[in-house]
Amino acid sequence: MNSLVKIAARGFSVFFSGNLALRSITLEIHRNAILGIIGPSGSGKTSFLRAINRLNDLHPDSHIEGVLQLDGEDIYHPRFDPVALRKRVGMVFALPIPLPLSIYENVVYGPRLGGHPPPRAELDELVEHSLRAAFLWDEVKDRLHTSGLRLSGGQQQRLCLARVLAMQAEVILLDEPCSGLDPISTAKIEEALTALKSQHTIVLVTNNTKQAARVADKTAFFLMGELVEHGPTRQIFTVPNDKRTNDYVTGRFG
Amino acid sequence: MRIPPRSTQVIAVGLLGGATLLTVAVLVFIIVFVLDKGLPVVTWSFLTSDPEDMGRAGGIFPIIIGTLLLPLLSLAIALPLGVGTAVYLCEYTRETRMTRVIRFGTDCLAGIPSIIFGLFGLVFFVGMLHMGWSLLSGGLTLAIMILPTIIRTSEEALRAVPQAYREVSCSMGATRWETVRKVVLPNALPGIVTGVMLGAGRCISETAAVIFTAGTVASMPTSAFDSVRTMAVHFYILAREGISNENAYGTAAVLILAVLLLNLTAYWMMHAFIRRRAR
Amino acid sequence: MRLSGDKVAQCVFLAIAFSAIASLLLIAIFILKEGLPFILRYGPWNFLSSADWRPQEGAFGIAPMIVASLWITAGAMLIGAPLGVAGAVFLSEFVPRPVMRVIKPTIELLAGIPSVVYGFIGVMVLAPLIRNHLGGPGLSVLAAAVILGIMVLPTIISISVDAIGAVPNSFREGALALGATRWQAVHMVVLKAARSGIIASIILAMGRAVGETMAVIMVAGNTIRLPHSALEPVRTLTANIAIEMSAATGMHRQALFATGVVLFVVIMILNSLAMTVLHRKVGR
Repeated sequence: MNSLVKIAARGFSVFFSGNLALRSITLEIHRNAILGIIGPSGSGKTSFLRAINRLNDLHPDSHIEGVLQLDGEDIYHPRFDPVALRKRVGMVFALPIPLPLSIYENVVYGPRLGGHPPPRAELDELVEHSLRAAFLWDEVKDRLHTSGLRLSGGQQQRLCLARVLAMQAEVILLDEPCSGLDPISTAKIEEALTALKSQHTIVLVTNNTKQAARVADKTAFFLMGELVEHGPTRQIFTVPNDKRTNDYVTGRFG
Repeated sequence: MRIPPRSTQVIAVGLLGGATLLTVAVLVFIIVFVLDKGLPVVTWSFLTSDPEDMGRAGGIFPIIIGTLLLPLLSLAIALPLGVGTAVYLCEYTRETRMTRVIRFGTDCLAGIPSIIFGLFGLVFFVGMLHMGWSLLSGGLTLAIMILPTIIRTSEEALRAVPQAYREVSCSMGATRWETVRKVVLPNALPGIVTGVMLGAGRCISETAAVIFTAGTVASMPTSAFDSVRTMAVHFYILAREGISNENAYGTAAVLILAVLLLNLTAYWMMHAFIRRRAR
Repeated sequence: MRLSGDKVAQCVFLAIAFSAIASLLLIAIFILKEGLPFILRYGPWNFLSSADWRPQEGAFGIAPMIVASLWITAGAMLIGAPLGVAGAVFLSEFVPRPVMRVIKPTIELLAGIPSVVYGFIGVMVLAPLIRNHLGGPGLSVLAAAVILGIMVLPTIISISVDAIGAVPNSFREGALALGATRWQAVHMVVLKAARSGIIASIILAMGRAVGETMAVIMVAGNTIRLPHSALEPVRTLTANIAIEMSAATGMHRQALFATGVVLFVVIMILNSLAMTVLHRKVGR
């Protein structure tokens, strides 16, 4: 097993109600790096992301073929616990979704799950640490116990990031996290991600190719459920191997 | 002679409006009539003293207590069963033949008239299980009667919780039960409470099923095996036996106010709930 | 470990979810257990068609009660359905939304009035009116029909308003665009579209009327005989059960349960009919 590889997909396909959403994806995601996933809407980017934390299981009629491994273990093996998986693989959604709780409660939601909640002092520390890493601490440190719903869009999204960080997840999945945000909030999040990659493996799905160019170490291009090409970001954006990739990144279609 | 459409419309709307007015007027009249005749009778001593001389004199205190205890007992049983059913239907499964069967059963149960519940309670709880005419028999029977109401309102409340919350909770490694317990149920609470109010209202208004199962003893209950009398039953007895029209009106006034209060609170909560969701 | 905990929760909830069905079955079983043997022994035809109800002499014909229930329910529908549907149409189509949103819950609130109160009003207000202006003892088929008609109004209005509200706006707009007046759009297009919901509401209301006990006891007069006019006092199936149950033993008691079986079956049929009507519309 290559210790550089955190997540590995081999011939991995996803079906929803019998329809093929992802066709035979083979891809290695390296640890402590940001992988950007780009492609037009409907190309399966989100389906792939949600396959990594098995959120697709929530869909009433989905099944997979092939292999998807985390640290060499097949996460779809019948005896693999999806609940434990989700504690190691966190997700930030496209729309900021703070739970209708206080900021503090939002962040400690994850750590409190599972019957053995850590003591209060440890949680306080965790909250500060996570909010700092999400570049949100200074803005909310005086109002930790007010509702998370009262924050601005950009702040809510950083709160969602802090939530994931509080779980000390090894992998952070982000599904178009900046799609509704202003440029300043977007910049803050990108700054946070760049700082975080030294400790985490990050997979960032984005509709904004420029964001991938700014932030991702490696980039993968999905089109209509297939992985067309992947490689170092610079290469994908300057001298891609596939004509379709070239057409997409130069804006010929989108 | 052809009537032009404009005129037809005026006539039609006039008739419809008249019908609506008539409906509302009749319903309002009933409430006003009862309150007008009954409120003068409702004094503090009426509410706090025991009935005397079979109800010709005195008050309705033990009857108020009975009217409070019976729905309490029914809800204590119907609430966990009803919310549990709603949780199963909404959170743990998708639409299958089994869920259709469960819903069919619930709808059927909702349509059964109260006299049949009374008969059932009589033969099953009072008779076969030897609970006698008691708070227990009445409570159990009414619990089954309000079960469909609790299930329906709870399911609606659960479905109103945004799916996004469930996804977020799940994505952080919560089991389904943890998600339900920590996120879904707390958010559905106002809707569930609405169901509780509606169910309580039904229990209080119910007469036939109560007489057959809880009996008609008008003194303070000391245990769950004691018979109790509710306001609706008391009112019925006073009115039908011609014992005291005055006290009947008084009881009816208290009864109507209680039911109106419950329903109003239920609606107000529902609106607050909807308003909060819309934010 | 975690997995099994969640599985346990799922099993517990599944078991709870069957409580409604279990209750329904229990009720059906026990009512049938007490009443069916009697029907089989006495003979269903005799039971249903004989007008002879004299428990002391072993005669258990419930025809007078069936006819009484039929007449009263029909009368209640004649009064309640037109008023209810008219009210629903008016509230949905000709009244501004905010006003409707106040009036509809008010009507539903008024539905919370206990049936015994309706009955009492019937006795105190309606019966004397009938007695003085139309004759007869006042407590009669007519009185019961009127009171029941009023009692089912909230049901009919509530469900019909929902049904009418579910008709897509494009239907209305289409009709108006063709030059129809508001009223024409309503009765030619909207009502047809909402038809199944409205019919379902009426059938459900019928079920409620047939099953109503307390109000009819107070207002219908409680004489056991086949009525020849709407001003005569009668006793319905439900009233019969309620009145005689306390003193009934042996075969008499079983006969009353058998009456319960008849009621149960009739109402189940009515409710199933209403549900099929509702679902047929959804399936389309």
